[in-house]
Amino acid sequence: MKGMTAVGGALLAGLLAGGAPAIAGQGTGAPGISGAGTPETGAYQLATELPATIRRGEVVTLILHVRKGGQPVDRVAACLAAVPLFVSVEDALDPTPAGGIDLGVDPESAAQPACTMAIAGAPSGPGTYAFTWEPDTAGRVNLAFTAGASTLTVLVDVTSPPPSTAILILFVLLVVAILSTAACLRRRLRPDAAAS
Amino acid sequence: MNLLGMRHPGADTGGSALPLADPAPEWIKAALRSRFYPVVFQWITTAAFLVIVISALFGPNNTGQDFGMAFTWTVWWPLLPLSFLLVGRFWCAICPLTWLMDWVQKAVGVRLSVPRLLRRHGPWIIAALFVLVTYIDETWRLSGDSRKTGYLLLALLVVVIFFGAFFERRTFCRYVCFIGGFAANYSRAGMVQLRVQPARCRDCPTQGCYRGTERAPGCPVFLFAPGVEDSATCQLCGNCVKNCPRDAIRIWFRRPTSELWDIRQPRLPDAVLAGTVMGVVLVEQVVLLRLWIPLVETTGRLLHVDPYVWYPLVYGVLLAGFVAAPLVGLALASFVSQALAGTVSRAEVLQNFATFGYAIIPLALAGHVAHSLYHLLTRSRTVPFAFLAMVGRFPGSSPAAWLPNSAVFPIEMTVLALGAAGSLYVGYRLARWQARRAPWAAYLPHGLLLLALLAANLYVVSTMLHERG
Repeated sequence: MKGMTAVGGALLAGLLAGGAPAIAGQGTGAPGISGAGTPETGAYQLATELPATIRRGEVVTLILHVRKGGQPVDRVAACLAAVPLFVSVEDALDPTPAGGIDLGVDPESAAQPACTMAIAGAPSGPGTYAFTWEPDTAGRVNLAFTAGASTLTVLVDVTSPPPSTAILILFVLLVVAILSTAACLRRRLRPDAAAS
Repeated sequence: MNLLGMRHPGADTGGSALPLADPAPEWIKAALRSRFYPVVFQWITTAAFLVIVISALFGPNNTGQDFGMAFTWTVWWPLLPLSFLLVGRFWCAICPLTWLMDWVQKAVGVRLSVPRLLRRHGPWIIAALFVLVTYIDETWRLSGDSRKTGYLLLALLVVVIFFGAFFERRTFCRYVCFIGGFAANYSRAGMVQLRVQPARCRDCPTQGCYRGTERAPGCPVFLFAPGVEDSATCQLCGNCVKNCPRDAIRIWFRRPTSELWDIRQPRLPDAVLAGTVMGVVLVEQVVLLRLWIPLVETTGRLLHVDPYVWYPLVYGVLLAGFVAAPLVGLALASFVSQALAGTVSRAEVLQNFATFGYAIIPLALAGHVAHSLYHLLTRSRTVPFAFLAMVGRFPGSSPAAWLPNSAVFPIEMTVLALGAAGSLYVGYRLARWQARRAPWAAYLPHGLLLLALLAANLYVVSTMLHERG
């Protein structure tokens, strides 16, 4: 039930964002997300529904539709792997937790043997699979959806939360306080220097 | 001239014996005297600093795709120790923070005297801050998070503005800057020194090197040029060269580590800092090894805490252990060294500790440079990609490293071998001075300690190669 709610929420978010499922194999972009999908490979037709914005550190639900000959395909191992468009070597060499790339792949779902080092999709309707993803990176990321031997790669932008407004305000206040206090002190202690 | 064809600065002018060195070419002196030095460099570094701060605060929070992060942690930070070896504290002369500090001081500076606390305990404060920043880096994941790096830079700006506004000259650089700690030690081992020809300084009418003249302010780090005997503090800002009425001050090139050969007034904080840096260099690398996980878990068990929930505590304990290990080793070696010499007293062991601490510096520097070269030669490949991303262009492929690990490994080993050779030789020279009657007995325990530290570094570097392929 909870999963259905999440999927429903994600679908609603996609609809509100004016999106429609991205059709794989046509090089189309995901709705509301800059970037493009690459042609799929394999026997299934894959299509994704992605939220309008994906933010680092925020949980999102990604939907994958799997069809064959126009019919939904159930009971297939659907997986999601996320790889930045280009990664720092540090990320690439990081041994934890997702095959060298620490992108916030949920270790519990990754534990499913069908999706080694990737997120497993939860069936949420006929031929529909939901992925819960919490990206811990930002920037351009390739999302590789696989269903059986079929693969669809979609390029998305993961945005970062802005810097804390409180910290920025604190910084400005501190600088102003320091400079104004110093200026006052200088007028008192070194009037000659202050005058020049 | 000596047999190696190098001269003592001031040897032809009646100066005291200083490390062997050759004078730098005239154009370097001309450059130092120029009114554009170091301002032009400061403009460049300040512009870069601004880009980095803005990029860290507002760019994508991704080490590989954020130009500020990529440049800071894979180019600037790795190049820093190498720069101290090659050109002394030149970085300090062109540091954007010093430019900001000078500017604030001109505008609103109260110019209070340096607080006694800083004057008395500055070296200890610097060492403590160096360890603290290492701790914060790991427990807050600074180098993996743009925003946190941005906040750190903002905090640094506040501190620098505070010191510029209230205290005279560059109090912050001299007594507080955490980079100043290893900068001082590494520059001692470096290839550049600024020295006077003392005979020319006698009866100097102006003492402009310290007081300043209309041409330039006095030494920003409180040095009186004729009294400069080491390269730990001088920032090579060129003010004294500009102000000297007798053309007595110049840059000299020297053999790396030569300043350490003849340390005659060893200071305990320098020795402690040398051991501290060695420990930090090691822990920064061990964190990247698989060995780290059992270390963390074992420490957690010993402390009866969940090591991942209490990671800051566990890391703090491990960091303290790594920092303490070379220092304990040095203390033991000093005790044995004095015991072999037949004179064990607290004062003599401390003197021995302070003296032979300098022998660790070349190896610590080599370990730091080797680790930095790894970052520079592999990870910095993302920098041009990140720059393109910053201006809205996304190249389509994942960049690999500039060099494969297998190619970086021999470079790291060579650097470590050179550092070890430097350390062993410095130790030998210090032993000859410290214990003239039985130098080898005094040297043996310290030589063994240096070999043990070398083995630790070799283990880390080779394990990293093995684990990363």
